[in-house]
Amino acid sequence: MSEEASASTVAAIATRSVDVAAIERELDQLLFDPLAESGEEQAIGVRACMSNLVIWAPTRADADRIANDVAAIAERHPSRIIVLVGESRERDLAAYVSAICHLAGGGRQVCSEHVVVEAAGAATRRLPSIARSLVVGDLPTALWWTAPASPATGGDVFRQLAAMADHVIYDSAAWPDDRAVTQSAEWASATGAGVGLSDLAWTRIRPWRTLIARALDPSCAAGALASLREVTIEHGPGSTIPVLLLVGWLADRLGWKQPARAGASGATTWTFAGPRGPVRATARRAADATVNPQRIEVAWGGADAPAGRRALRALDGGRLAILDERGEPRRVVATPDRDVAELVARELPELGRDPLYRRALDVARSLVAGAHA
Amino acid sequence: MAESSSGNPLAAGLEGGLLAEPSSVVIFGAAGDLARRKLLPAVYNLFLDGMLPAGCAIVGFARRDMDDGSYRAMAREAVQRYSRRPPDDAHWQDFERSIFYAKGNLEDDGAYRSLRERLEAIEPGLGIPGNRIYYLSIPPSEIIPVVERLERAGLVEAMEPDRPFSRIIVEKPIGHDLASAREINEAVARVFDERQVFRIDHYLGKETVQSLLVMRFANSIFEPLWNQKYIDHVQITVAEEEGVGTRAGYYEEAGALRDMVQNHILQLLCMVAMEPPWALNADVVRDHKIAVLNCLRPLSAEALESCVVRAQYGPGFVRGEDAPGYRREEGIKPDSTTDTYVAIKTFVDNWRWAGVPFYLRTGKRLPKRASEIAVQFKDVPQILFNAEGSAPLEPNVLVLRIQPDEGLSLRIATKLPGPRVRIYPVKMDFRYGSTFGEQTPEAYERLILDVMAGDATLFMRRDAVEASWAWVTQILEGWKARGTRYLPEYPAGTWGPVEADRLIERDGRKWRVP
Repeated sequence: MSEEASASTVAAIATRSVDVAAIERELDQLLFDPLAESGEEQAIGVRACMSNLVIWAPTRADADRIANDVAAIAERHPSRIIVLVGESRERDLAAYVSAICHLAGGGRQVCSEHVVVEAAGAATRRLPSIARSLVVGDLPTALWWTAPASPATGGDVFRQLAAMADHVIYDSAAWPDDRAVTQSAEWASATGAGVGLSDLAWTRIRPWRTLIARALDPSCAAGALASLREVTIEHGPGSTIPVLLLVGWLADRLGWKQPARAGASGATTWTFAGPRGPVRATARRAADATVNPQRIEVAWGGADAPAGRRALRALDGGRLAILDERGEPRRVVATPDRDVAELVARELPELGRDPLYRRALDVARSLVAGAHA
Repeated sequence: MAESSSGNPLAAGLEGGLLAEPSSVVIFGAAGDLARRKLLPAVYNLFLDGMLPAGCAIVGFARRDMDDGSYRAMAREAVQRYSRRPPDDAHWQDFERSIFYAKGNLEDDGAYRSLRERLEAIEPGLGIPGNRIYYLSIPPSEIIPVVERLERAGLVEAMEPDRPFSRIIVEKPIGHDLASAREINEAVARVFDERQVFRIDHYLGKETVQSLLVMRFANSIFEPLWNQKYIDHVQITVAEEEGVGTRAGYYEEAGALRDMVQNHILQLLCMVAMEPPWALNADVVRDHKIAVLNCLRPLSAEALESCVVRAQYGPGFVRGEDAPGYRREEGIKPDSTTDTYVAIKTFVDNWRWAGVPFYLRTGKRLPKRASEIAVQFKDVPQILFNAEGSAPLEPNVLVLRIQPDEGLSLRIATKLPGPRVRIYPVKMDFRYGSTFGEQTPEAYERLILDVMAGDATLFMRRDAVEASWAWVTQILEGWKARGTRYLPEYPAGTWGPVEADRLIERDGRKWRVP
């Protein structure tokens, strides 16, 4: 486990190796300095806790990868952070406690409790029970599933951890196969609305959704929303799940039904029945594209609406642009450059209560089902 | 196709379903203090957060001899100095392309025609369909002529479907009494529909003020107690540490009553005392707020004597530093009778608040900067733990801190550890800064975005402005009729005059120390 902290984190109070049964007691003592000059114990910082954040890391490499993220999350959303690692460096079951502190107003240190429990082999099955004993009552519990596979494939460990969570966070862009969308949508449907879902891939495309909504707003493109007839999304290498979610969102919000899929080399087109006729959505892998999506073009118009087109493109530096007729940026908007830690920290207070995601996921599932039928 | 409130189904779930619409924001008083300290930093932060519409122009309008380049440089310096996030080169280059400058004199009709031509030249290239927001960061005496000239120059669109919008933001103070406020409102109403007018009170954009409604109506434990059965009294304090500073000219005419009570404090009182609105849309919330103003007890001549204290700061020490008296401040008349402190006891005469005093106070050169609302609950019966009449238990107090250090605290009685029963008051404290760990946006960011999206919930409606002026004007007229026989003085760096202490101590209560 890395003890590095983010640049803005003031201190990570030293990690202590502890007995699993003593974790809670060690946490109680963690923020007191027994060697204070007065001879009495003094509080080192203020304990703050907005949530329980249970993090599943299948391997120690995964845990190391997210160590800095954990510190950054604690700064933005102080929590009791319980990292469960499905691999142990020492023994079957090993536990460590520490505190992640940062300076708040008035020079006070605000600290999050940080517990890491590593398990090897059969002991992995014991991890959910440890997490259950450590979550603080009366606070939301979020499960961040860092494994690069759908949580729906996570088996009994995931099932048990998800059962104690109010909110599950994962990143579908990391899944190796877009068919995982099907399993995930089925699982999401089975969990019902009682458990919040945050897909970081969905969060990342929010600036695109905002820009599309603005570009097609009736105030600047009258009639475009109702008469949209073509959407082309160019994307880079890697997962196409963000693209599927984007198409799913458009279809859900604009009332497109019954997608029929046609594939050609490097491109997939779905034809929907739109309110005013067919709508074609194409996802195309572009040779020069480096991000997902890279460029989006929309066209609208019909018998009773004037025709129009608009192209949007990702620029370097995390910016998005609306292009002019020559393909040059006409208007650039900043999109906050958010790393994984910031995405997770922003999702925690939202509790995954975005019904639009579930609906976009459902449509995405139907797009994939067509592809693999 | 499910529609959002903006008529755009894609806007649902994004920015509360109300997207800021492409628009030009014309700042009158573009080189002034407010523009540099608040408005330009607010717009820049909105840009960084991706909240500005794709089509947006910020057009500064002022007398000063500048062009786009020099205004952009001034804006960058202002952002560098006052923004919660400093400018960085990559983003600033994109942002500054939206900034323009139109030199002009507020009294010159030709300048408005030039402004219109400038806007017509700028907007097509930025995809702005003629939507315009006029931010009047100017003295109240200039509001009427500017509004009339805007109309004469053809810069105001009527509020009709499928037409570009014209909106106007008016800064406080709106007038200096009821008559002048009505005059301004009348003049504005001749040109703009009320739905196009956004009267800003930046206190309403602060997180704690917004969270007051959440605290009251999203928690089941407070609202049942929120009435005369359980609440002893309410104290609203807006304390300033600094003196009159560079605002001598304005402040000499205004004084504490006009500067703080008429707007900020009465708005806070409305938020505390209002009945539960049945919806969160602008008119419903504002209807409920004006109901509070309509219930404020009128102040008779006798009440003016016993329930209102005004005072002025004399020399003293603030945080150990010498502080001159008000009359020795630069730009202040040596015989000034302007109030720098006001304390008021008032009542909201309705079923919920019958008999509950609201103590309001504001002042300059107080020991520290602090704005808060304190709700003090009634004492527990004088039996059991509170049986010792000479040493009653401290009552429960719920405090909402508005600035600085936004948050809330609740004082409760607990047992000190040990074999004997000893009661001790402890404070449960919630601080936005340390709990949520992220920077709170400035109030102006939220408010400017609301204007772009056409949401007037956090802005004052005409009737509310006039109702609050009507209540305040009776105090002003009472003071005028009575003359200034005696103006109490309080040393700078203290919590106000002894007369204010007497005002509350007569009721067996005392002012809190924020």
